[in-house]
Amino acid sequence: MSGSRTGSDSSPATERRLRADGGRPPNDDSQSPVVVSDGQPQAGDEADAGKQGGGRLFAPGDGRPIRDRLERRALAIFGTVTVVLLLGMFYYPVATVFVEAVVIDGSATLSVFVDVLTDPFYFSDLARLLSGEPPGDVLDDFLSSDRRLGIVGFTAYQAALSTVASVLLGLPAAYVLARYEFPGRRTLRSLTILPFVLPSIMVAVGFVAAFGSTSPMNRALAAVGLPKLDFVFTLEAIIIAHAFYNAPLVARIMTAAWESVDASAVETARSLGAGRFRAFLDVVAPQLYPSVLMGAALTFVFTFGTFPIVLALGGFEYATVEVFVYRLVQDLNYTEAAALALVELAISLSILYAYLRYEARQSVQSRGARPLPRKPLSPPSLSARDLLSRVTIAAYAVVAAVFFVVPIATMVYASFSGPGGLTLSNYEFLLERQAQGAAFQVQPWPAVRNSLVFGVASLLVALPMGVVVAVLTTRRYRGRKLVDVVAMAPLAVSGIVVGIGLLRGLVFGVEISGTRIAIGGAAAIVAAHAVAGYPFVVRTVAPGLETLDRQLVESARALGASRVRALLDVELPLVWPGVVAGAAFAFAISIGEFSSTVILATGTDQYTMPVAIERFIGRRLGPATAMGVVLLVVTSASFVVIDRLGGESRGL
Amino acid sequence: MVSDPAVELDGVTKRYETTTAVADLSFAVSEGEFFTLVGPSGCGKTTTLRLLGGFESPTAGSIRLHGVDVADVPPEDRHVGVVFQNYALFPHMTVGENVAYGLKFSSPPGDVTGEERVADLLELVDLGGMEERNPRELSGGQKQRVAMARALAPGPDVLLLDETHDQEEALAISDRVAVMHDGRIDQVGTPRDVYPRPETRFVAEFVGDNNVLSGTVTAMRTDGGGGRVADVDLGPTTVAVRVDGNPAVSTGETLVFCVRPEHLTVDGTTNQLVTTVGSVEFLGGTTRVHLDWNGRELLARTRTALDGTVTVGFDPADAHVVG
Repeated sequence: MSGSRTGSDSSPATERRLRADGGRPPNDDSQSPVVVSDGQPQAGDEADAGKQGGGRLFAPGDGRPIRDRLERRALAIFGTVTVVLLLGMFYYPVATVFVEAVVIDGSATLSVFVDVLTDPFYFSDLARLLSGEPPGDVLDDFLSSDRRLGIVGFTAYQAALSTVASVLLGLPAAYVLARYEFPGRRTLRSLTILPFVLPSIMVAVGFVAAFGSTSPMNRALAAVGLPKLDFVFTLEAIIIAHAFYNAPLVARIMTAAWESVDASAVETARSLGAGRFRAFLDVVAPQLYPSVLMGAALTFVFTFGTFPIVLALGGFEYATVEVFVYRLVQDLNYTEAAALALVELAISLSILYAYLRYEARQSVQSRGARPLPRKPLSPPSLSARDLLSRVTIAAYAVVAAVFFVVPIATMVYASFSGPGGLTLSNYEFLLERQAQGAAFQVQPWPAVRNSLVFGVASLLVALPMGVVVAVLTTRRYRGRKLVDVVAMAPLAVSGIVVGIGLLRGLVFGVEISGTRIAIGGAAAIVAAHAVAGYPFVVRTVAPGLETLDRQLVESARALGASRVRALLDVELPLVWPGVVAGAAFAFAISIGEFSSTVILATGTDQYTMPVAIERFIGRRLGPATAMGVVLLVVTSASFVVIDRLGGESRGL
Repeated sequence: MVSDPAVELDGVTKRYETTTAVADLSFAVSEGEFFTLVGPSGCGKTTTLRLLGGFESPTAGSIRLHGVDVADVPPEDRHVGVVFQNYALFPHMTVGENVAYGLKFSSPPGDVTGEERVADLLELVDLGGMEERNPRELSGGQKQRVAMARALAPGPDVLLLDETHDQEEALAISDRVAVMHDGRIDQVGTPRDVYPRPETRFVAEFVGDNNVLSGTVTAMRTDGGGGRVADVDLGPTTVAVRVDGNPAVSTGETLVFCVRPEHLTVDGTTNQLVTTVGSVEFLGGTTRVHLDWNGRELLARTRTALDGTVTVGFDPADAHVVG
C-alpha cells in the first residue's frame, strides 16, 4: 500500500461519509478509528465512520513524489544552506583575515602581531613596555606633558569620552521618559530605537551641514560679526556625533530598567524612615547601575570600533584603529591591516566578554509588579521644588533638541538650498549620470541605484536566513546556546573585518582542488550586508516563535502538515509582524552599511550612497545632503515599520 | 486473519534529562476501541499521547500503529488525529479553515468534496453554518468541538484526546481504562473490572471514592457458605474479610483491603465500626458522608442524612484485597 494520503485506495462504496445516524460502512473491515483519550472524551467512536480501511501504511518515502520528499526535508535543506552561507559569508572571510595576519610566506608566525603590539605608533608607551623597556623610564615619559597616545590609545580615549558624553546625555532622558507623563512620551521612547537604523555617514553629513564653516548657523554668526563656531574636524565633533548616536541607546536601556523598579519597594523604604533621596539611593539606584553599565559598555564597544563618523569628521588629524585599518587596506598593506583589525577585535570582544560575565552575576531582575507612578510634566504646584525640577527638564530639552534635531534639520534644509536660495538641483543631480568627470570618480545615480539593488538583494538573503536561524534557535535541543552564539557572532565583528576577508578571499579568488572560485564585488557586498542584517531578523522573529503555543504546530502536523508546511501555514502568519520588522531592519542596515562596502567598492563601480556621501563630504556638500535625506527617508520608513510591528519589547 | 492492534506500545520509556516521564509502558488498543488513560496530573498521560502523536520520541521501546513501527514516522504520516487540552485552534484562520486544514494534505474520506466534509463535521458537532466564524468568538465548549471536527476531518486511524478528566464520564464511556501512576501503568481493564477489583492500593484510592484499611490477620476460617475468611485486627476492632481469590493470605501477615463507600451501610450487622459524622456532601441522588473512626476518616454513601454517632458495617464479601 502506498504511503500517500490521497485515499485513492478506498472505494466510494465503503466510504459512505458520516451521517447523523453515524451509520457504519457496510463493509466490515472498514471500522471506526481507535480512540485513545486522556480523560474525558467528547465523541463516541461512532463519530467518524468515514475512513479508510484500518492499517494504511506509513512506509516513509515509499513511492512518495519528489516534491513531497523535498518538502519534508525543506527545513534541513534550508538549515544546511544557511550554514553554508554563514560559513562562506562570515566565518570564511574572518578566517581569511586571521590567516592573512599570521601566515607570512607560507609559514605561521606571530611576528606581525608582535610588530603591531610593540609599535609605539599604535600602542604608544604601552608598546615600549611590551617591547621590554624598563617600566621606570616608560612611566616617566608617560607622566610628562608631551606623551603620545598612539592609535589604539587614541581610539580608547575618544571612546571613553564618547561614553561619558552619551551617558551624561542619555541619563536625564531616561529619567524624564521613565518618571514623567506627557503627550508624545511613547513616540519619544520609540524614537530611541532610531540609531539602530540611522546610517552613521548620514549623521556625519548632518554634523558637517550644521556645524561646518558654511553652515547656516555660521553664516548667521559671521553676518553679525561673531566668530564662527567651526568644530567639524575636531575631537569634539567626533564625540558629539558619537553621543548623538549612543545616548538614545543608553536612555533606552535605562528607561526599561527604571520602569521595572517596583514602586512598593520604594514605598517600603519610605515607610521604614528613608527620605525621598535616601530611598532613591538605596532602592532605585542599585537597580539602575547594571543598566548604566550595560549602556556604557555597549557605547564603548561601538565607539571603539567607530569608522564612518571618524573618517568623515576626523579629518586628517584623527584616526581610530578602524580608520587606520582602512588606510592600510588602501595602501594594499593587507597583512598589517589584518593584524591590526584582529587586535581591535580582541579588545572589543574582551570588553564584551567582561561585561557579559558581569551581567551573568547580576541577579535576574524581576519585572516590577507595579512600576513607579509617573509625574505630570506640567508642575502640579508652584512650589520651588516643582518649578525647579521642571525648569531643569526644560533646559535639558532645549539642549537635547539642539543636539538631536539641529543636525538632521540642517541637513534637510541644506539639501534643498543652493547658491540662489531654495532649489531641487541637488536632487536632480542624483538622478543624472554625471557627464563630466573621470570614470573612476563616484557618480550619483549609480550610487542610488546600487544602494537599492543591494538593499533588496541582501534582504532576500537575510530574511530567509534570519527566519531559519530563529526557527533553529527557538527549538529545544542540546547545543542550542552554541548555535545561538555562532549565529549571532556577526553582531560583534566589524564590517571592516568582514569586508577585508571577503575581498582577500572570495573576491580575489580561492583555489579549491584545482578550481578557482571567485565572486564579483557586487555579490560580496550583498553577502556582507546580509551578514550584518540577518541577526536583526533573528532578533525580531525569534521572540514571537518562542512564545507561540507549540501545540499549534503539533496540531498542524497531526493533520498532515510537514514541519516546513506548519512553519509556513501556522507559525509565520502568526509572527508576521516580527518578520516584516526584521525585513525592514535588514533593508535599512543594508542601505546604511558603510564599513565593508567602502572596502569592497573602492576602485569599482559598486559604490553605494553612504560611500558616495563620504566622497562628497567637503567637496560636494549639496549632493551629500540630498543623499543623506534619501537615506533618512528610507531608514525612517523602516523605523516606522519596525516600531509599529515589532520594535517594543521584542528583544531589541 | 488476526489483524494487528491499532495501537501497540512495547516497553516504551521516555526520559528527560533529570526525570523519567513514562517507564516501560506496554499496552495494546484494538480497532474501534475507546481506551482511556487515567491518573493524577504528572503521571505521564500527556507524554504518552505525545509519544503516540510523534511529537516526542521514546528513549526506549517501540510504538506500532497497525503493526508498523512508527519510530521514524513523522507526525504528519501517522494518520493520528489530536485534540489538545487547550484545543490549539489556529487563531488566524476561520472555523471553516481550521476544520479544512487537514484536507490540504489528504482528500476527504468518501466521495465528498472538502467543503461538504467540513460542513458535515460542523453539523455533527452542532456548529453547522459557523464556517466563517473566528475562533476568538467561540465559547470554550464550541472551541473544543471545532478542534474535534478538525481532528476528524482527514479520517484519522487513531484519535487522541488530551482532556482534563471527569472520572465518572471516563468510566462510563471507555471500553477499557489504564490507570497510570508515576509514569507506569498500575492496571488495565474494563471499567467494570477495574472499579470493583483494583489491583494496587493506588488504583483503589484513585479510581472513585474508597476506604483503604489494613491490619494483621489473626485467624483464617471458613464461613457458612464455604468461603475463606480472614479475621483482621484493625486496632480498635477486628473485622472479617472474604479472601477467596487470594490463596496467599495467611495468619500473621498484614492485609490491605478496601471497602467502597456505597458498601458501608448503617444497618449492617457485620464488621461494625462506631463512627462520628463529620461533614456531609449532598450529591443529588446520594449523600457523601465523612465519618471519623478513631481519628481516621471513612467515606460512606447513603440516601439519608446522618448526624451524631453512627455505627456502620460492611459485608465481608464487599471487602476487596489489594496489593
